[in-house]
Amino acid sequence: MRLSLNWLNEFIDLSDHTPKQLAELLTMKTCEVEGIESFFGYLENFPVALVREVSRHPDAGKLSICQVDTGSEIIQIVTGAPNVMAGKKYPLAPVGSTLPDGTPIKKAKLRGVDSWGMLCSIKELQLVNFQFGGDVDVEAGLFTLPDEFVVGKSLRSQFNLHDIILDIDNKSITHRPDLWSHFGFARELSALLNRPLKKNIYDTELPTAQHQETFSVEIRDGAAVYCGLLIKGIKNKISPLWLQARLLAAGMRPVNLLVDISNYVMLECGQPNHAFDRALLTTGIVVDRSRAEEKLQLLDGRDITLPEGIIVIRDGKTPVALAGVMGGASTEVSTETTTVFLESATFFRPDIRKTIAITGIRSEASQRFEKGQTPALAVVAIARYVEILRQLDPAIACGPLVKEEKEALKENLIHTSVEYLRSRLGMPQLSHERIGDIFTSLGMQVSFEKDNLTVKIPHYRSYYDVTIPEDLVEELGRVIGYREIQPVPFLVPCEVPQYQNHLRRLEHRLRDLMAERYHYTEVYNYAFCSAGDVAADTRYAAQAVEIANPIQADLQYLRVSPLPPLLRNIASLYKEYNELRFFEIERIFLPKGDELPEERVFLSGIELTRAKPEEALTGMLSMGRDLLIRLGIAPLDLRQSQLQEMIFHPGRAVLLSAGEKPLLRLGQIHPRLADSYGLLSPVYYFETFVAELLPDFLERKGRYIPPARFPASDFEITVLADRLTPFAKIAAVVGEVKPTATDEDRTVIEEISHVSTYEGPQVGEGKKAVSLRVVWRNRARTLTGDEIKDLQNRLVHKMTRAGFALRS
Amino acid sequence: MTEQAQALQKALQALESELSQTLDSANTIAELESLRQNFLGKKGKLTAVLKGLGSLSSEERALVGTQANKLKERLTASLENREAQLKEQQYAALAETEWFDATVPPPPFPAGYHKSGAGHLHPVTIVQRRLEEIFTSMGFSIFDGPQVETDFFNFEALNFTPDHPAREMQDTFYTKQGYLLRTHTSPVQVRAMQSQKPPLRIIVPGRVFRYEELDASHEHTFNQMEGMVIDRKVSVAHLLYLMRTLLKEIFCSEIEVRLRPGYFPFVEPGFELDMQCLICHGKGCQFCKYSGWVEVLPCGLVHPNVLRAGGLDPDEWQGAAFGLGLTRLAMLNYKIEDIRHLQTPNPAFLYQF
Ligand SMILES: [Zn+2]
Repeated sequence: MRLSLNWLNEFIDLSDHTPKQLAELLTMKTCEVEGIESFFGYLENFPVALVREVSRHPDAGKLSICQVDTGSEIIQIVTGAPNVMAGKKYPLAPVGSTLPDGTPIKKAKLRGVDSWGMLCSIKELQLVNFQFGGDVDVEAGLFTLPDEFVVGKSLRSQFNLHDIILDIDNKSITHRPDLWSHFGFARELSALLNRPLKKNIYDTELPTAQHQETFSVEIRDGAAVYCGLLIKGIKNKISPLWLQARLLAAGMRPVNLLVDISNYVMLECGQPNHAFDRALLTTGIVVDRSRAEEKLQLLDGRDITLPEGIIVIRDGKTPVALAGVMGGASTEVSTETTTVFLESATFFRPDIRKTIAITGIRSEASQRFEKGQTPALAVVAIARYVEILRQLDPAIACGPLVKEEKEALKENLIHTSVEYLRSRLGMPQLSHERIGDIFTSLGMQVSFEKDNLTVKIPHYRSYYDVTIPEDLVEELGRVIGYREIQPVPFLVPCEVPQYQNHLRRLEHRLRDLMAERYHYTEVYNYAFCSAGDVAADTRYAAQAVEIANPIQADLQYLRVSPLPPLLRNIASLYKEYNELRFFEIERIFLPKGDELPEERVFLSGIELTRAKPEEALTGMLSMGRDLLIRLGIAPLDLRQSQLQEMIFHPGRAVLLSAGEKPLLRLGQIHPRLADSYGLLSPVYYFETFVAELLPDFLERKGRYIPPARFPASDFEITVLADRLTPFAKIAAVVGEVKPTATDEDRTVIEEISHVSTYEGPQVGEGKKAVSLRVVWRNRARTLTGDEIKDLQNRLVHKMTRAGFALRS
Repeated sequence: MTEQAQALQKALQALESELSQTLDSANTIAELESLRQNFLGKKGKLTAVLKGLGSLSSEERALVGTQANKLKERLTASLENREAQLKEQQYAALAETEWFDATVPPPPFPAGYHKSGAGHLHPVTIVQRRLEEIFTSMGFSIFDGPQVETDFFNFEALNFTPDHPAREMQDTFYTKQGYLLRTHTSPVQVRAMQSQKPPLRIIVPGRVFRYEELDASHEHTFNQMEGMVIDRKVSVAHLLYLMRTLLKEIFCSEIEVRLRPGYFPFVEPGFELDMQCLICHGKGCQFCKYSGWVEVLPCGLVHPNVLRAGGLDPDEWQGAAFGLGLTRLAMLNYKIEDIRHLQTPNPAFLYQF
């Protein structure tokens, strides 16, 4: 909202404050001031000039050479404007000035003739929003100024536009319906500065009726109060410039006198009001809810079909206005209008919000009603309207006021205590007297009974504003100024057991490991994805949560897989980089019928490498195992198995489990899938769900085995197998790895490790040679040579019997 | 039609039947590629045939030329079909042809794990962790909540009634089921009150969403951190102390702050906390729009309606709450000029943190 300082000064004397001081005061105590602006300040640079002589340019028929009186000298200006006339006054842009659009004015030569500046048009001065009337024509060329303007004086002074605008952030007064007007701000400043108002809008006297004609008014639903009045003998025309300037200062455009006064009154006192052309009304006003499919053409030309149940103003049965939002075209005032029915009513906040939500139509009026206006203003607006109109045209005649009231005025009573106010603010020294003074300055009535007080809230702050003791804390705090409050530390109750967010601890542990140990870089990706992304990986959900109002068509769903965004990340970079490793910890959203979706936190990583696939996979597997071990999973519990999932290469994917519990998936991305994301090199991926890692992370059991005192014996053996025989199948022939923790006299297999696998001409087509190392130990003693020999022989025998021929 | 033209048409037909006969015998992508070159390449058979076009009349040239183009489209399509077929065959065979034995235990880490360069944490993560450390050291617990929320927790429980004008301040993403993406971390205030016993001191770092077009300073996805204290007596003075301590810890120096009125439905009274501009030290500069102050923390005392929604009796319990833009703080801290960097995986950006 834009506040004119001149306007404010009509209600309160602010002459001892600079605009900056006022902005500072309001910012600290009331609301946010977004800017201070000089109203048409640039017009200072454009003086009134008188053209004394005009002669035709010798070489250009369309140019005129003018001798121009600037008030201090006579200068020569060449102009192409057709309407230039000797003896008329025009705005001058002198050499050295700059037009509002940024064009600098320089001394120029036009077809060989010197020109010392420029005479301006309305457009060049950006004054098109004004209605100058008379014979001023925006399109005619130069702006012909009134004869009474003084040559040499600035346009700003001649049009009387000296004003400063404070730009208020609307959001910051959402909760203050009383501040949506100049008078409202003046009243606020009167409290903050503790000085009286010069004029109170509520003192405006209602006109005495000069005729007895009325127009009937009925509230069926949707209004707290409805006032109306017939004004006869009207001549609608353009408004005087001072009135136009006020509207423009506050950010509204002049239309015509009747509409402009409506807007003026609204900007001044906050009460929206509307003038109907009486000649276009028939039966009588009815405030009522709309029925489905009713039609209405609005003032701005829009034709709308009304939804059912919003509040409309009817003339008899016909809707003629969208109550509290916008008038209709059928009853609009025009230059023909001689009698108006002036409406000023108070509509309810929920109804106006509903109208806005359903129709999407907003206006200055709805902006005020949706905050909740006091019904007391309805009559005031009528009185002010008539007062202003009469001042401009004493010939008008008013009828008696018609008023229907459905609700009594609200004035909240709040009970609280001095102790409460002190303790909430943290100002233990706050005196009764100071509390009383501040509330009184805000228009409240305070009565103390020892330490308890009852505060009566004025009606203009009783609607959706000051309703509970907490609101009084705020009023007190802001008027005092929070600067006065001394910070005090909390008293910590130490018996409180603290909630431990273990999941977060684990997430951070994973982040550290990923970045510092495995050299992955963290990325953040959106929660949103496309239909293609959903289809690309349906392992966790076939359908995704769909956004009703996506910001882009390809961001229409919530992720059901960690993978697609990471694929996209790599696809956008893989041509520039040989190696990339990204990880992400975020959530996927799995639909659960009508309930909120399940949000599953994942850790996933993607790798682009130029290493051979076997190396890349072994590296990732080694990382995966290390990660799980670091999180507290016992190495002996780790299982590796072949994984078949739609996103993975059918031969190159591994599932890591702890016992039977699957924990981490990894492998090469299926080339078909990579291809569909524009990735032509192999990429590797892993994924795990953080909540599934949590139990092991918390228990951290691991499996401790005391260091052994006697040496182990190891043996390397190479066997021949079919190429597709898993290593685990061969290792299983050796026996179960079962290191013991007790020093009993028992020989066990402590480890079976893979040494190498060879495929090639020396072992033949479809075959491979696998070398493995077996470690035996007895914790009670050193194994004898014979025992070792025997273990080895038995192993060789078992292998052969299982079909794995020995290879030396 | 001239003989020449008829001959050309015949040659085109011959080409088509020749390709369809040889197509199935191409069993690898490489073979297919050589077939493509042979027929459609610059020195291929089609080009050779089309050389004859030059000697035709312009009408015939147009006619045969169109036919040739259609033929080219058909040939290209059948080559592509065959390629897709071959690829699918290849994929189907992958389980055997490119078999990696998943059961081979890798050498223990870090043997065989040779990765150049270091990894990096995201700047928002770094700032978030620093804040989590500060707050946990002050006895706060870290809470999380869902990112897809109900209207109740995101708005209603936070004292945004259905007709509340402040709902306009929040531009919200809705799901087709009628849920929404949380527009702030504040819903977790109520969730925490419902699930924990007071007194409470919590922070909620997390991702939030606003319906906003992307530009250098606006994102539809960003990170916030909510904070809340619930205790028997909570005053503005306490809140002020907490905020000052927080900023002092973040910036490692005494920070000048000021509290001024601000409106948020879930607090009463509500404030904006400004800190003195770190760039100009209060003298006024472009960054602080020449005010000397930077808005950092909306905060206030918890509204009694919010306490009630959380199942607490406002006569017994009081609260203070604040919100902190993690993304904004990270940008301030590292002087990141464009918010879009944060969600774009650019190593030139990420490797600096
Ligand atoms: Zn600054």
